[in-house]
Amino acid sequence: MGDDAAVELAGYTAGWHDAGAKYKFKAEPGLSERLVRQMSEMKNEPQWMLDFRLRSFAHFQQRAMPHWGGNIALDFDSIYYYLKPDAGNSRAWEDVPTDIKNTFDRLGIPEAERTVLAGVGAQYDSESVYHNLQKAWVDKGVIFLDMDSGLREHEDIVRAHFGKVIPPEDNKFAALNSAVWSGGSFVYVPKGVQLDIPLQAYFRINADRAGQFERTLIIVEDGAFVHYIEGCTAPTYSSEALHSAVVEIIIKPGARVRYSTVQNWSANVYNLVTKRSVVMAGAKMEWLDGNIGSKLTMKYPGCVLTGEGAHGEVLSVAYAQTGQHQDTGSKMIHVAPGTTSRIISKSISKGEGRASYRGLVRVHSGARGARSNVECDALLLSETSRTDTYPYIEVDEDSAMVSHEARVSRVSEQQIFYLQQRGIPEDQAMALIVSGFIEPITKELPLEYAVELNRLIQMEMEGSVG
Amino acid sequence: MGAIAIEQTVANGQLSPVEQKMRVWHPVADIPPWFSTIRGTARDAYFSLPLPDRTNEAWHYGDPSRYALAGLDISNAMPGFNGVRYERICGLTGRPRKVACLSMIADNVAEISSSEPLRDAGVTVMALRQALALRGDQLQQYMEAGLVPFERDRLLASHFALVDNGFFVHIPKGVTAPEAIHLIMESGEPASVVSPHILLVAEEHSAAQVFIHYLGGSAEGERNLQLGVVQSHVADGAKLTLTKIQHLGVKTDALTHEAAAIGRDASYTSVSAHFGGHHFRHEANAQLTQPGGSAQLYGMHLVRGRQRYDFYTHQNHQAPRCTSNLLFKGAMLDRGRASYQGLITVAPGAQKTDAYQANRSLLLSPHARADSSPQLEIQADDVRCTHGAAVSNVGKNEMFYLQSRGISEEYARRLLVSGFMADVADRIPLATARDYVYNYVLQQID
Repeated sequence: MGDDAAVELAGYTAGWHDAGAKYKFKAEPGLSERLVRQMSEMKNEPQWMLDFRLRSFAHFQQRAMPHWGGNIALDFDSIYYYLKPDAGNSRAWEDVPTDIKNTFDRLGIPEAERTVLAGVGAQYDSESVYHNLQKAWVDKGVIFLDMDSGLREHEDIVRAHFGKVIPPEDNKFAALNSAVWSGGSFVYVPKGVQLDIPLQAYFRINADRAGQFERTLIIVEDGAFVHYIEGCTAPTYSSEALHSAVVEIIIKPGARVRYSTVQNWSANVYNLVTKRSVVMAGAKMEWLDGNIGSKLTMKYPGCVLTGEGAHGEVLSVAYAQTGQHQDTGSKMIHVAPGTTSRIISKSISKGEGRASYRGLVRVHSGARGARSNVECDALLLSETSRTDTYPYIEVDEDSAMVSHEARVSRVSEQQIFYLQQRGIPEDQAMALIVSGFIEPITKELPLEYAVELNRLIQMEMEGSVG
Repeated sequence: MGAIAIEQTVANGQLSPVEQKMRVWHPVADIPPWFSTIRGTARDAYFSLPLPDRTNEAWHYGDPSRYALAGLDISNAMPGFNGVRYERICGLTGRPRKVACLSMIADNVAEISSSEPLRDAGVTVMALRQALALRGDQLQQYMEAGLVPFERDRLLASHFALVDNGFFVHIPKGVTAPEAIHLIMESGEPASVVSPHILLVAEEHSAAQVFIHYLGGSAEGERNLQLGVVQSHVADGAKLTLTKIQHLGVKTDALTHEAAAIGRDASYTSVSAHFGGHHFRHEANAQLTQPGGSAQLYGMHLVRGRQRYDFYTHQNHQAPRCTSNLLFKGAMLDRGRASYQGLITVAPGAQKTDAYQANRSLLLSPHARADSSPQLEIQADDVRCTHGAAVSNVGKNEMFYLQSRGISEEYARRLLVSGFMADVADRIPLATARDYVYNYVLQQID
């Protein structure tokens, strides 16, 4: 456990940090054009990427902070933007330095790889320290690399797609990521290849006041399928850390991607993330999004449905307790005819926690017969907790059908009473009801993750009664 | 600061005639000093505040510049009773004039008819200017209650800076008004602005039904502007039902703001039908500050041509055991556009709140557009809050069902659209007004 852990949350088991971590390079805190150039040079990047970073940095500087969403009380000058761990990027677990290996061992990463995954990536602060893909998939032409290696080894594919789904000008934090990105995953699935077991990436922040800016690009060719899972944790420090990722996904006709996140950042992390996919004809995108941790999360995974019959889906669960604001939701942009989308959002607010749903459904003129359905459910566990719903529905097509519904409720005394009558103690009854409330989402996760999500929420639920 | 802003604008030579008049405006003898203070504060606010921009969440979809005073002068028009529209709505055509009915443009009032039963019951219906002169002390507490926050809003400030007349309706304690009260707000001539203010006071355990008709205004030529505020003070146990029909000229831009302070166990119901105007924004604010209050807000609208409508509503729950129910329904034809944005807030401690909010839009043309953003901010846990929004065309199945029974496509569509509107239209508590609304809607559907 970190000695300086001032923000101690009951039940947060990933809040320790490795005090002896060694860095090959630790930039001074704060952001400058010099740092951007230095990073690019250290990574030995092509000129176009340096130009992209500089253009992004310029936009970040002049772009105003968003006037909506959570309260971002973050001192950008105190953040470390580039922390290069003293480790190469290994393809064998044995080669990862012992201290970093211990960190991931404690989080159960290699074990997970051995049992259920096709490939595993691990990122420690700014750099990926491990990426491996089972040989069977390598032979089929699947690429699973950290983003820096992806850029080196497959520059043409990367250049054609990088920053195309989410340009740096999209928002202030996408600009920030585009300027100082490091690590993340590069995934390429060739035509028709169905990865029937998932790929996983694990993101760990270790240092105090760290910024982590991973960049993920997933390209899935016609008729292919991949399930990509990411997990996130960080130590608990008294000062703020920043995680600002950009995830771009391109799904070619008839392909399908499922992207699952269980985010369990410690309660000092600002998690300001942009995730978006372009979904072509007959293709499918499914975002599964669990937000348990962080101080403030602003994350709205989106689908741009550009091909006829494309489908986008977001299933999300947010859990906010005292000191947390989960501002999450989704964006569904219907451009082509016959496109469909569905958003199911469940949130639980406890103590003085605040959970907000913020979403956009836009149907462009010409998206004949587009359909979208949004359902938001909020559960309030105490009289000081807060929930908000901010949906935006914009329809420019008369043959579209769009609907939105939201409900806010609390656990009723009747439900508790019923369970107590059957000999279940009140706190367990409460946990059971909450598990039932999020069940539509957990049932979509792989078993291990469903169990993990339930366990995390039940841990957070301790002491909710009385 | 206000003075500096004025000077700068003057230097730029951008003041419209009405702004120039506002700048040199002097207190008038028959207006009480406290009211002059309100107008002065509003004028200073007007000249020092910027127009709201997109960072103002309440204006996410609206365009505030459409309600600015550029190029306008104060209206000098007289109530013209142009056409017989209001007579049809009120059911006056060819019948003895029984209802209490007042009409005005700007400061010019015409009394159409008055009602003896209302007078006998002690109900007051008079022009605001007259009420300020005769009953200023009584009005002061309501006008100074801060129900309409003009100090923070440039457009509301322009209303208060310009308000020179309007209506005052007062229902004494325990009295049930024996008849409906009709107020007709006519809009002015091209390039003019009118800014009528309606103050409705229902004392404890009273009950009344009030109709407000927004009519007239430019039908061709230059735009004119109407900035209307209706504030209702519904005391403990009182019941106020307000019906508004807006059918302004097609060149009229209008902003109407409706605010209600709802007392303990009091009930406020507002039913609105909006058809006219070019750019039109309606704001409704129901303040539930005492336990047990209830607010019902119903609205319907039909836009066509290039009409742009923008709605902003707020169900503000500040006390326990209050209920609110909102339903706004709109149909869009041609290149018409409408946006709805609404907010339910439940303050900490407002337990047992029951709040509902729904917005449904019917897109009847490939070029029409609807935006909807129903929002919730909940800070109490023992509440029941739900909301919904839906946008679609008339259902294919329903059309097929009706056509398979020999009903023509055109008539089937009319049936479905009028059925869609019925949830709101049927709540209009006057048969002639209901007929008027249905007829208008049906005429537009082809």
